[in-house]
Amino acid sequence: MGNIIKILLRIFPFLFFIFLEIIALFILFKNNGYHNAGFVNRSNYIVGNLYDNITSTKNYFGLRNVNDSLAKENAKLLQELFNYSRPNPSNVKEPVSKIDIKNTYLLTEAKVVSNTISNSRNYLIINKGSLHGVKVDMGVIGPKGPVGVVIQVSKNYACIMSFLNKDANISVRVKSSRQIGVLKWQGPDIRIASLEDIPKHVKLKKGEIIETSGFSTFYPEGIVVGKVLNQVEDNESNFAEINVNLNTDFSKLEYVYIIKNNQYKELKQMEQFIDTAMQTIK
Amino acid sequence: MKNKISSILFTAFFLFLTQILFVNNINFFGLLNPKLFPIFIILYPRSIPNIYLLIIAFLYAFVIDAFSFTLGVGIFATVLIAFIKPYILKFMQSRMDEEATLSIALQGKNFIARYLFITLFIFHLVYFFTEIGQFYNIFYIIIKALFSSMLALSLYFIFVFMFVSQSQRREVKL
Repeated sequence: MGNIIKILLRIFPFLFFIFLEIIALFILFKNNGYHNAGFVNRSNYIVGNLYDNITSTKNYFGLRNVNDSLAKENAKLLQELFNYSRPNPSNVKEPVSKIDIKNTYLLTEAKVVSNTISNSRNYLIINKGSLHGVKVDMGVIGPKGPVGVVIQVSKNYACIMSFLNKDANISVRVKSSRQIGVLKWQGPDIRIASLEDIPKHVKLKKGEIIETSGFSTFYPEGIVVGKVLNQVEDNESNFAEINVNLNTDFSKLEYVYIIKNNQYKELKQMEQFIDTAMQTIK
Repeated sequence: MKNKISSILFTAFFLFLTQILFVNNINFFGLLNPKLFPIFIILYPRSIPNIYLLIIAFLYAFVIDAFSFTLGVGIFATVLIAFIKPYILKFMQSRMDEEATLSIALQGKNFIARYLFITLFIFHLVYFFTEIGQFYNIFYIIIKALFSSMLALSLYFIFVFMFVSQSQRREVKL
């Protein structure tokens, strides 16, 4: 008995070390998932507040007030643009035209408080939270294209999963041919993303414009994401490997716009309906 | 004693601020991404029992992780470094009766540089491995760890020679 206790005491630091490592891995996997809030809110008050103070000190030297008013104006203009480009109600038959398709997308401007670009899973914090009507699952765009999706909200701040994240993807299409694909970022270069699910026989030219398809609930259709950089010839898979040069420079994000989709609930219900239908068929 | 504690606290706070305000923004084509904060654990006085060092490493890395949005990754690597630190020192030193403090003044530049480089390289390797977590780009991870640890080491020496005077270096654990 005494021997066992002696051995236990000797290997106790090692056991404790293993215990701490298991906790670390638990935190890691708990926080990595897309919808896993984990037990640490990334947009919590302390973190948000510190970065907010630093950013406002930086902005003080720039033309802060001018920027604010310009951002507001931009939000208004972009909102008008997205609602304008929806299908014309006069072409649609009676029952559908009754739906109010005006103001499907509402935009709110927000300041980027903190932004990481060096990890394989990157996040942003913005200075608008649940008090300003920001909710989880809202899309976020920058002045030059999609930025990410809101994943956590606190009172005054919100955490956005940046597009520069292994778990993020955007449903996109080629502007000229309307070919649909999925855009993903796999790192390490923050300016280049890869376009997937495009069949091999499709040959894309350098410089062709890639824009959002509007199939997801996050982004309206037709936002330019980037341009085709090159197409890698790869014989193994049935899909082409295409590199896309992103329009947005994630290292210089200052102001972003949060998109509120008024038809989000309806679309989500429809998706759930399809899911349950598929399950019953199986 | 009081002086020692305040110098430890100062080191911790200084490394924390440089990490989250300055070093976290370094990203050279995704190849350079140095981590300075483990130096606090690596150069922590050896008089402390191992278990306490593990706890300190855990809490310190947790705070850093919360601010750099890499929850869990930093904790894993820092606790590992805290655990293997005595073994690395044992491996590197021929004489066992060394002083409890690790500093440039006591052990010399060469020893501290070698010791820091080995531990920082292991730290960066583990860190990027858990962070990127894919086996197929292991070559990229090794290159990134090598460059990042070299940059972290040079940044540390620049800070030490910039902010700490020679006489202070002899007294303070830096």
